[in-house]
Amino acid sequence: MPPTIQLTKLCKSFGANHAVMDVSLEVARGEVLGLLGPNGAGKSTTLYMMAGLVRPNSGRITLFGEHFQHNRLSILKRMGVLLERPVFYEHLTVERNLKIHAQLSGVEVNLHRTLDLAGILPLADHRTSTLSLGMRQRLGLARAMVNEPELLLLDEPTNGLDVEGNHELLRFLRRLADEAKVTILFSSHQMHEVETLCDRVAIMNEGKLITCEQTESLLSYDQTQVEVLLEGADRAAKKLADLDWVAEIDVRPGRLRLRLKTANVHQLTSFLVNNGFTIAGIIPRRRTLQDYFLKVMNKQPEGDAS
Amino acid sequence: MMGRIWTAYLVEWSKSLRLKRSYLWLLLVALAIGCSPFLRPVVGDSVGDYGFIAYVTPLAMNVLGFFLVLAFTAGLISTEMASGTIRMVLTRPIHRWEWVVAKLMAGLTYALIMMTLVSILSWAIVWVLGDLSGVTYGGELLSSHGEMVSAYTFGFFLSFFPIAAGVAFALAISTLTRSPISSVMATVGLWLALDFLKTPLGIDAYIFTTYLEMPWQHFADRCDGIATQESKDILHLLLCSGTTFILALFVAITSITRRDFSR
Repeated sequence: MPPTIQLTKLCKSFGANHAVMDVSLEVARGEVLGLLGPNGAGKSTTLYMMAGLVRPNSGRITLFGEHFQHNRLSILKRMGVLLERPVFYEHLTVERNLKIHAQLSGVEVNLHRTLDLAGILPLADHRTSTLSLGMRQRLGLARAMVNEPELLLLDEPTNGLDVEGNHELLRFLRRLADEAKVTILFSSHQMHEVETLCDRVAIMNEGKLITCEQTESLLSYDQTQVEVLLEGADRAAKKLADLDWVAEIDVRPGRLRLRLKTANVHQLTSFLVNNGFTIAGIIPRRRTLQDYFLKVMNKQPEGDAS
Repeated sequence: MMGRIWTAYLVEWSKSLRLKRSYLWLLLVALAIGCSPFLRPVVGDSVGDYGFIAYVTPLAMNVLGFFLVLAFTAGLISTEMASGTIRMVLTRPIHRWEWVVAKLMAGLTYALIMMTLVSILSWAIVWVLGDLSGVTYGGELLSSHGEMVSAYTFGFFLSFFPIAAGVAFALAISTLTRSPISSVMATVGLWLALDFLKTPLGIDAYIFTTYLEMPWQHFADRCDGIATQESKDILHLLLCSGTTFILALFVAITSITRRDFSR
């Protein structure tokens, strides 16, 4: 089975501004790919090109194994799109807006069921101009899913949602990917959302795709950063400070946070035991996506990281 | 293809029907026609009363009505570009040109509704206040009521062509600017500029607005007891309006299909 998304050497410039440069990417069916990057990295332009709103200067977009430019309509039928800050016909009701979208998508669906799924059924008769940001985002999601898409392009979909709504949405999207095998391209600035939801993470900067890795491999335990639970943390810190294989020490009541120059937890344990300390536990620190993101961005030439 | 255009057209109408201004503008034209007996009284004399229709219809349709139809159409695409809803529409399975054609159809429908309203009201006023028994001079019936209705219907049919050209013209302008106000101002401004300059420049035969009045002339002549039929003028009207319509539609479609709709 061909990958759902296949981008090959995609380029887009707006005048002298190279928004996207040579981006190549593959996303399998049912996979959730998080797209991260600072503002102006080219994430939205990539999504806009895949949604057919922006024409690439060069490169190729293949979705569901079909060339996008040549099979635009059949591909769009299978896609749902939520762009940042969803806009609606403000003088129309929530239900009418959704109906228009369903009509243009060529599908007949139970609108009330879709609105119920998005948690905005009680607002069906309200004008969209009266909706809060969170409710607008929910309607945007309902609209993206009205045609039961096989591919969802989501540009900052949790923007404006409250904590509960955010959690619900991430769970819902995960279920869509796992059970209905919906492929999701998820662009966000919120690292924890990408960390929770996405199978893989792609990081873009200045129009280029810097890296694309499995989320799980990025979040593995970091043996060079450990937290040691022990009595006499102050004394232990003083002794450790003289050692050349210890890079950083952060003293907390009853514990030490250490960054080691080499990943040798055994050496640390021996040193502490030999100096008479009783260790209650050693916890290797789990990397966060933010750590990885910052690390990757710092690898960029000076001035690139934001 | 036709199904998609039809769906987009129905969507367009369902939106327009929920806009207050769609009704307000029709009401404005209705009010203008309602007040027209104060400008030119309906006297109860059949010749003069048909003349009232020949006076009111072009006045209401070609000045106020045409202005409002242009304003309605000029906002159709620019409003979507200003609000960003165009991005939502263009991610749906519809070709961009099909969507432009649906918009054009919406503009034409509004023009047709406006023309029908103007016609019904002009005739209704004379039917209530005047005499519709045919055109007679010195007791001789020159044109029966049926012949007058036919002449009017022919004028109605012909006048739709330059108005349709105007709708396409407004739609083309609508695709060139992201602000609805600029779009309306540019459309009306260009219309007025063309109207003022066409005669000094000697290009009036090539400008569609020249032919707005012409279709009603045949009806007005009949009111005066003259039966004229200038087929050469009709040919010019069709050629000029048709060319403008096609060119304007080409500009509108090209503008939308070649544009990027990023943030």
